[in-house]
Amino acid sequence: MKIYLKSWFWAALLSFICVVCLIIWFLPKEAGDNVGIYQNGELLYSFTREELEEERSIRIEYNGGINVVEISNGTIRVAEANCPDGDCVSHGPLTRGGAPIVCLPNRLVIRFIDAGTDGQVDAVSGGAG
Amino acid sequence: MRTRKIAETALLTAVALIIYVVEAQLPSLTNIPGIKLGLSNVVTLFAMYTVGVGQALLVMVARVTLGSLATGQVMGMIFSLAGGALSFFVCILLKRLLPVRLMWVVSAFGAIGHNIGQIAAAVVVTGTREVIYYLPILVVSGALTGVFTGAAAQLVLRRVKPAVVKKLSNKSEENGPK
Repeated sequence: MKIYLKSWFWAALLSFICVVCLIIWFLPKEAGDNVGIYQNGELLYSFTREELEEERSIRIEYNGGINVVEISNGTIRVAEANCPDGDCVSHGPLTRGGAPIVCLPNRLVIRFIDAGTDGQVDAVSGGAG
Repeated sequence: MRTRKIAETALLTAVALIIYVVEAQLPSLTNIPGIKLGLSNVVTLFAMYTVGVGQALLVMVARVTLGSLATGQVMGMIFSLAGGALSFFVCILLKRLLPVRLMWVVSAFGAIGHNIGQIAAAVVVTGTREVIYYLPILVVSGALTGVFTGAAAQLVLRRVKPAVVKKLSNKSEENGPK
């Protein structure tokens, strides 16, 4: 069985899919007040807005992978990483409504989280070197 | 016949691997994980339409495995293999439904499938649903890069097929669309 449809139909279908996805991509996302650093889906650190004002730098290791997270003036970013692609570093600081910072090789995710998720788990696991 | 198949698969794998390694040297255009042109899929597509689906699968798996070793991105291998599997499934399905002149459509949906599979693997591996955030933009990039690689493969096929493919494998008709 073969479907014979004109090329323009497929071009239109693909364009339509792209447009829908772009709209979803640019829709403003709701974001919590706190910032969480996750490794392998586990919350390693969480910071409230005030805590982000204090300057600090955190070294997070994973199987030989290293990410240095820097916090200053209310922003958080990955300053250094030894992962092959370096996407997390070029991502720049985490912005409200923007994409989460993801370092796939080191299983690291930095994103906004709800205020309720904070506290207890703070700096418990041995991620910090 | 067996020897010929081994030789064909090896040749196509070598070509795909070289393209893969060269592409890996280029700086990435975006800071979004998972976006790349995927030029070596031209070879996978070409293989699919000439020597057949089975050998194309071998070429793809060999390229992904050897490619991640060669570029030192062993971690990324899981994502690539998950993406490759879903992409391959989509391509096989669409290849049966669409005529050869719509190879670029097969490729586009294959690439979208690849990126969805990659995200799915990333969600499972990192245990973070948040990675889905990147899904829409990866679908768009899949559509664009897929059309490009598909069109490239289509051009290669059109130029190379009459001259070489009959010699390369007489199985091509058998495996080709009916």
